Amino acid sequence: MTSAPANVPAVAPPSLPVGRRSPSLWVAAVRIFDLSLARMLWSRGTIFMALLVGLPVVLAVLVRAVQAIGGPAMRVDGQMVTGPTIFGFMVWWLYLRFIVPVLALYYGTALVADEVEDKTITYLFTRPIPRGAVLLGKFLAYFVCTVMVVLPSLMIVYFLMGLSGATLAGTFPSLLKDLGLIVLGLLAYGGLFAWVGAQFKRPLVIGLMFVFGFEQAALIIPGSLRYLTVSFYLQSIVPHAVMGEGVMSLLQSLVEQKASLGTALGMLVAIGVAFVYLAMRVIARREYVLEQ
Amino acid sequence: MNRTSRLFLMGSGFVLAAGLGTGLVAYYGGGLPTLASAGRAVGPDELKYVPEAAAVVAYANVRDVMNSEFRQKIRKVLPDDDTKGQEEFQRETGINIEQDIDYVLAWMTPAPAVAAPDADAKEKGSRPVGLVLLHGRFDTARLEALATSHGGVVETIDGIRVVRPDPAKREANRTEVEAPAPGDTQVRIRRHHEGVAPMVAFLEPGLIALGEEPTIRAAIAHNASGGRTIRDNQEIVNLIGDLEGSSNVWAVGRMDALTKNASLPEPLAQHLPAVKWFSASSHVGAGISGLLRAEARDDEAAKNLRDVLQGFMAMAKLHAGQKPEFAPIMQSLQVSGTGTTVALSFEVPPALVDALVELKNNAN
Repeated sequence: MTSAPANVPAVAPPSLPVGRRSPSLWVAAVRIFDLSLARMLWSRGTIFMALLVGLPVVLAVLVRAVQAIGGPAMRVDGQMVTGPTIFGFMVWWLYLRFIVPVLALYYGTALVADEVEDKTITYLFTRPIPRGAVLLGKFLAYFVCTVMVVLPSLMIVYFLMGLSGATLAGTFPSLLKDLGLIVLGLLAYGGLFAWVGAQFKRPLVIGLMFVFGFEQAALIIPGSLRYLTVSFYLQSIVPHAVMGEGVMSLLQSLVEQKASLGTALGMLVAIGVAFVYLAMRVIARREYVLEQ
Repeated sequence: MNRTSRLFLMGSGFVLAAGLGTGLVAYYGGGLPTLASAGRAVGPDELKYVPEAAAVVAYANVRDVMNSEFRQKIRKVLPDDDTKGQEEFQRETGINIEQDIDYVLAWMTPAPAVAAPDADAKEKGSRPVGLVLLHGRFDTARLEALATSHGGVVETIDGIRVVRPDPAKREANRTEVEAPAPGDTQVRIRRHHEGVAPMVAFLEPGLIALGEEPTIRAAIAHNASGGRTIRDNQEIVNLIGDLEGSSNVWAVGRMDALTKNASLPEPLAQHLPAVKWFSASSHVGAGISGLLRAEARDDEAAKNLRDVLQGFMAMAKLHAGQKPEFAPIMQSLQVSGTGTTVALSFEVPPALVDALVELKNNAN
């Protein structure tokens, strides 16, 4: 047995090849994101998403065309409505109360459920990456995909509709708020439904009941139940006076509750981040039994 | 990520960046022409005569209004005196108000565009001055003859023919000696302060300017020198661009110019200083629809003004219950707006016009 001379530096033990080293959570999530984004953009849900975000654009084009040919003024309950009012109405009722929750529900619940249904989750879990990274990467793909589809749609609707009878400089700050609200809505609803998808067996049904049942009821029931909804925080910072303009709405505005700007912003971000974290924990611990 | 996805994301990003960039330039650069006004000059060509400092600019498409169904209905119930007055005016001037005037453009500046050299300058400086432009078909020779027969003189300023009162006659009429009253030996001399002389200018074929002499002279000189006009005021241009096309009568301006001497209800007057710009527009067709819009200083001021207006509307609607025939108008009143914009719209539907005409007929 020979020993190495004292003046010769010790040779470090050979390490694993770089390619075989287990990547960090973030690096793994970025790889999953890269893989999932194209699948999400060009999946069977693409047509569904295109229809959803195309609907307001088509409506805006129609209204603008009617205005251009000198058609009669648009009315709701006998009241004449102007371009910015219609835009505000569309932002709240069409985007924030329908398109954002439905897109988040459709894509959020499918993040894990689709992999289970297609029996491809095994292939993801056999990769040398943290399980949580699978969900984080897929959630990032959902977020980028929906944001990059919904925001341009809103921008087009704004330039078609929101400027009729208003100035660009005057309404631009409220457009920025609308864009920010949609991003926050997609984050909060997406995180929530990602967790629902990872945790429950029939996530779509639960999600539908939450959005179109619980949230609708909680907003009109007096008390603190509204604090458990996402739409309450969105409603608290929506910049448009879209809840109606008559005497009844005036009375409603006297009794309605709103969260402060800081609370609403904080809660929307917290809901999104917390539920994504919970979903990552669920996927890391849960055993998914694939049906044969 | 494949090439198609990359292209899609780049396309989306481009739409977003273009929209946000345009908005940012408009917000920080004082506004950009809107979609409705992009690519063409906003407003009537005669805006070139309006100085940049104009506080209020108003426009009425007289032809549109006169040909409207609303006007035809109203005409049936107008008293005969109104029609006779128009006929007499046409006999004198050759102008048929119903057919010969296409549109009217008027503006007001808070101070005179040029300093008046006479003694009235001081008084004039404290009140707004304005000018009215009529576009249509006019018999210039006949109008000049009519003016001279009534003591006017025809002159030429920078190649533009103008008609104004004869200065000699005007000076002679300025002082008047009154005979002493019975039992009084004192002779009274009365001085008449007639103010600034009126003037009519034939600016272009089919374009007449009516106003005070210094204002018209200033407008002619301003147009000849190619100085800055209201078209250089981007905020006014944006407001006009938003209105034209959807209305045939409109006015835009700075709120301070409008409220300086106006007596308004206290709650409304408190909130008006927060308003920078206003616009009022109306479309006269089968019925009448109107939109009053104000641009507030900030979001908070706009919200407060919306609240005040909604309070007024609620009260008005309660009172309107006593007169059900006006219920459709009250129902059409609507306060709206986003950001710094506050808007109040209304509509007089054709059915209500018919009802009012019938009411008038029955009363006759």
